[in-house]
Amino acid sequence: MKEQVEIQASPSSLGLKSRETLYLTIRHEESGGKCAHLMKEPDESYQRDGEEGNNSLLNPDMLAADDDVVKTFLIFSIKLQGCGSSSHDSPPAAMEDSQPSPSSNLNDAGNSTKNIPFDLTLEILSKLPAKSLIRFQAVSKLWFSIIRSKDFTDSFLTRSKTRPRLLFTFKHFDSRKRFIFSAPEHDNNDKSSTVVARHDMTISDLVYYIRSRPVNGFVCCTRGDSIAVCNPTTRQIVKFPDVKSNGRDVYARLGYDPVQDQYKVLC
Amino acid sequence: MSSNKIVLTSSDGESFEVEEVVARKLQIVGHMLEDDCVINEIPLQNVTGDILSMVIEYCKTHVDEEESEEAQTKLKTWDEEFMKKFDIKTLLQIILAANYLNVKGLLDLVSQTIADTIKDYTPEQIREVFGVENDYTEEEEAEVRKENAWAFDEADTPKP
Repeated sequence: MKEQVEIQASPSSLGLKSRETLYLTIRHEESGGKCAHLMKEPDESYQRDGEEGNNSLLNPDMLAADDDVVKTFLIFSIKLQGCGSSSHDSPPAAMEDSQPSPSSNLNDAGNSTKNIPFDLTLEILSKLPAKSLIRFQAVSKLWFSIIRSKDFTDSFLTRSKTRPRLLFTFKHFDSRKRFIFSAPEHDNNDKSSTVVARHDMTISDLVYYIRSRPVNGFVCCTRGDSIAVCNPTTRQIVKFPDVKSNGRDVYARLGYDPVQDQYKVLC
Repeated sequence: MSSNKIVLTSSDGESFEVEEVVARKLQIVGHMLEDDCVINEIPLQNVTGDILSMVIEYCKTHVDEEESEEAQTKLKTWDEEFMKKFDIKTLLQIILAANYLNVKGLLDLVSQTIADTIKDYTPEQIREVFGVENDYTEEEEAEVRKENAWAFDEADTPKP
């Protein structure tokens, strides 16, 4: 376990002025998921880097102690990308149609770019990070359907589970925003005690609280009677219909049903 | 281990004499040798000499894959340096060759290298390099881009 997490983000990339207070929420799953709300005044490097317009380095020292570090895993998934399950089966057929002769044109000598057969394209895509994949949906309809296909997102999730990440959030009261950050839990190449956290997502309505542990990369958040599920990897948030609570507190938990391959929210 | 020599010939007629253990790293060759043990010259129709020589260089280096951590680290460093020599067009030719010749280790290495190289590309660059035809209408493409505008924002993707 790393001893320190560096938060790498510039105030401008978060839509903030420099020298503002962020509230850090850390969940400690091993103590029963109790939330600790901690406050951090931005340190000097925050302000200095804001002036330079570069990434700034926040060093929340409360993260330095091992006990405080979240045991919450954020697992990447691009599943929330909102295609109906019925469309999942059609794309592969379409792909074969549009690439009828995978390796038959290998023969032409010289340095002209040859068409890359479908299985190799898939091999390369399977090694790309989520952000690139999301961008490459715009390459063509074929690429779109590969990236959105259930087989592909499932294999992405399987690979991501081998790279668990720490998830933590900041809230900023003035702009009513909640920032979701994540950092790799293991980084074998890096001998230093610090990992760099990446800004994954901003929820513009900070009153959403994150009370339960993430499930396959999805995070369930609640606000009074309102429930939402977000996917920090794709930066998508899906709001659920409000529940009638009759004045009582609403508790919502997200779960995954492996038998039916469905995600469900209980409240 | 056999020290037989095998001659591999590329599509453009270039010949490479390699030891049998090296040639067997190319699974396509391994299968041919199993079918008929007396082959000593193998024509490889789908790969040019310049690409084949790089595949052979990889196979020679990986011919005895030792288990020790030190050897593994050394190989990994060599792989990284080896891959640095190539531009994206060459990498794509190597992946085609690694696929055809069936060299699993090289296929993994080069597909990861390609992924690392293209991860910050724009969709336009991808189309050009992969020879993909854009079949979106202008409106459709704008819609897809709008839906995930953040992924096109280079501000938080520092260039390596």
